[in-house]
Amino acid sequence: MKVGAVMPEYKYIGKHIPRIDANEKVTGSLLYPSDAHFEDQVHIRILRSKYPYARILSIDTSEAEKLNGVIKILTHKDVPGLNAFGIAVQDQPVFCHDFVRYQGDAIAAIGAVTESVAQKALELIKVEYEVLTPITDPKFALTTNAPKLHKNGNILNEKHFSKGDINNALKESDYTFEHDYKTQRQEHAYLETEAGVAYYDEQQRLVVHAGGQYPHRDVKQLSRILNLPTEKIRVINSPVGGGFGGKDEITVQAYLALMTHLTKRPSKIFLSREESFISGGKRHPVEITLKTGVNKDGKLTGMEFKAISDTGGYASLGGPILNLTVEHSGGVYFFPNSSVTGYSVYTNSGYQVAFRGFGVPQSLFALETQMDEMADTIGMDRLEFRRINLLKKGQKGAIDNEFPLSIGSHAIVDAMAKGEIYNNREALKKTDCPYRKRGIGFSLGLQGAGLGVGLPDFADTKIILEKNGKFRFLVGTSEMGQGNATCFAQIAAEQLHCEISDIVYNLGDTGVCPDSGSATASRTIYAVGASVYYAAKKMTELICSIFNCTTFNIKNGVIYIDNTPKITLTELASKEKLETTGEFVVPTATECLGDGLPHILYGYSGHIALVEINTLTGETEVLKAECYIDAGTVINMQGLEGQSEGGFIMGIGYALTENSIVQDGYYVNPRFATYILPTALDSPLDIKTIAVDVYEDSHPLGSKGIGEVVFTTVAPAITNAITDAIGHRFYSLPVTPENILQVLELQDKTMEDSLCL
Amino acid sequence: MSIIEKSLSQKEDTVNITLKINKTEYNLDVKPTDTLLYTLREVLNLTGTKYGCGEGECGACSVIMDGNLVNSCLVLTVQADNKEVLTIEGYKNDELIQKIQNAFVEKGAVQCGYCTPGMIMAARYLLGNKNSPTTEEIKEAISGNLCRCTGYVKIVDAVESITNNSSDEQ
Repeated sequence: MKVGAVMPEYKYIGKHIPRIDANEKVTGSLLYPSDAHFEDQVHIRILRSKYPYARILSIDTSEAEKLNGVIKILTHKDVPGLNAFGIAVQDQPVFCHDFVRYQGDAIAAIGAVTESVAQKALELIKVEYEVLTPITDPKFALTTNAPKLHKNGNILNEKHFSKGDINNALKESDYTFEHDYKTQRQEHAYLETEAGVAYYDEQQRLVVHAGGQYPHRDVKQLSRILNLPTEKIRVINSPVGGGFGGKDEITVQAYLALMTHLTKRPSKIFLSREESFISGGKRHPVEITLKTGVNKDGKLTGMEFKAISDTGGYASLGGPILNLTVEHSGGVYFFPNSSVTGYSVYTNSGYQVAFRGFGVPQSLFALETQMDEMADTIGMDRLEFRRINLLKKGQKGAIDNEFPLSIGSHAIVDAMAKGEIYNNREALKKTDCPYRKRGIGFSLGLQGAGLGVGLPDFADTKIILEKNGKFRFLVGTSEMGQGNATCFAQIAAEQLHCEISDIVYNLGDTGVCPDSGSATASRTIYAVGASVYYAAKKMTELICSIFNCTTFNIKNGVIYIDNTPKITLTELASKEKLETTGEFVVPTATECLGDGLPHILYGYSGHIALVEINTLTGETEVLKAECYIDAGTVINMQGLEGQSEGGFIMGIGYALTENSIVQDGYYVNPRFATYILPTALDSPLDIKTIAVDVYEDSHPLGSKGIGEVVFTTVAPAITNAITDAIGHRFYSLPVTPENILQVLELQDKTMEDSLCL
Repeated sequence: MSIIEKSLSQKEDTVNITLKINKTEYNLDVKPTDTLLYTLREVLNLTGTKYGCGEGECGACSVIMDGNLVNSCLVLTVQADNKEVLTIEGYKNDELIQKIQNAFVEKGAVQCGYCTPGMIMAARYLLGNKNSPTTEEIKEAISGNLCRCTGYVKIVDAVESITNNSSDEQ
């Protein structure tokens, strides 16, 4: 379903085109990094820390080295270059040598002829520790009493912004609201754990083929670690069995690269699920205090927002993630006055990294919960209350940032108000079952697209006409399941006036592809898609210049000009070497408000959910949902629906069941048996995706990215629906059946008490 | 398996068994502790069957053994001795798998694709036993298979589309 602008007549864009990589996926023939295998490969296992926080006194590998079948044992002593990694800050050791700072820290890598020999050797390594008391409370980490986990202390990043006079605004408001919110640690749970192989290619480059999200940046990280020039290293990180941000940082790449570099043999690693849980990064748990003011007429007056984000043992992208937490604290609304504070803090509770939404879902959970409370208190319809407070072009956001590009929230609210759920809300909430209660919840949100100010954010694409008459596009960005390869093929075929089957491609391979930037930050369709567009457009112009024509068509591999067959693509390829490049630079704000802040382009979304609570068990069932997504021009509706439905179900998990618990620094539930992901039985089939086309002028096709907004606003829609059903508001995630039962029991008791009077 | 690995494994007790996989017979010496998943992937190089958790929680390693849907990570290879095993690679001889595959492609039921072979085996098991399952039965049938990308809607839709097709044919 689409709402909004009139689309130009396209042959492929916006049309139903099946995924171009689907055939090899359904037959099981596609080789993922975990499927790659070499006859003489070295099997790698990693020795992880025994404690969440300890000083390493000694590491003795001598016994392990004597074991038959052990090929090489690597520790910090074997790292030729920088023994550290991290996208933004390189504070995470490849192999720990002085301290361990979380349970997943690596101390040694064992290379052996089989995995079981490597495992036996791992048990023979003796590490002496001085066990230290882990820091588990981020608030304590901020105090002067806390030990310093890193040389600069425990604060990774702090941000302070203000606009207007918040104290006065809150003092003069008719109503003020203040609550403490808490969000949990969420596991990415990509189905393919961190895995891959390393080997030398025919050009004697060290190849690392492992699931990842930005191969060109992985090369830079590996180059620092190995002390090798970047041209000696090749990273291939597609296809990926799911990433969601969790494979943006390097995971197993350094172990693979070092093992093959030092043994001159191919190597392989494939993490078990439990090891993936314990060593892999998670979504940041955030504690938020939110104070807001509103007048009787429904107008918001001000917002005071304080967040403490727990980044765990290491930085990775914890700094930029906090930036987005504070940047998005005001959501899609206009607050004339604001005060926004945020801290990203080191602790010994796991290790947090990028995850779909990048710090934004936490802020929006707090804000969207409080929006409902404010609407209810002043007696205004919850959607209408949101509508009258929407930020408009020209108004400034919570960190005094500007919104010069398209704002999709207005069209979203209009579409929501016309939607089926909103218009039948009273009827939908009726149920005949005496022990079930239903509710409807709303939420609105946004997500910055691209990396922000001052960070290089560009995409290059190369298109080549090959000897076999196929156009090959080369894109450095990874395909981790989002469907971007299909969209790129549609964009290219549209420009080249050819069939989709005339297009072939390489993705995510630094050996052959140009740098197209990361598969993160909702940027691939927007930035990389634009570069594909320009590369294809140039190829079209090149062909036109050869034949001195203004346009052409390609059918069955033959170029037609004015409906006359001119030449086959294979003949053309044999005569001329045709190669073009397309470049796109993501527009950024003119004024920087601090490292990377702000964005100027945002994608928008709105979610409505209908839930039913079983008051006997406390279980919440999501019955029905509408997802309103501001995608700009939709390239592939089926792909958008797939992302939207998947994002929604991930949001159900975030709202209701998922919680990666760390107690005293140890993971409590590092298994699928205890970390509860939604299954088909927990997922409604009635999920409608409504694409709200707000044409984005800065993109050649008017498109925006949607990979994150499809998730960002889901949890508060569900928790607000629970509140609507049972009349109790929850301030922390997830809202489990136990939480609900506790509330219902209390409500029953209060009722009984009042009846006894 | 590497030469060194073979020589090492020969020192341990092995069991000689016959596996019938996708209508091909394999005579193998396996360790009593080897799982069927390990043998499929590491010995026979049938990597369409995926490892997701190793403890029967995710369904990525689903195969059909003697007509039953099993998590191959929970089956010891010796238990599969003389049994018929159908994996995703068996689609070449299996029309029903091909139908499901086509429906998955057409309906957009594939994203990262890592859960897909297991999902297809679960759907194959359901449709092999029941021509026209209800939507609830489809959801139940794939509920042992985790997917983190799609949200299941399009997977159920794909399986349902075959049900409709087959009822049209009747």
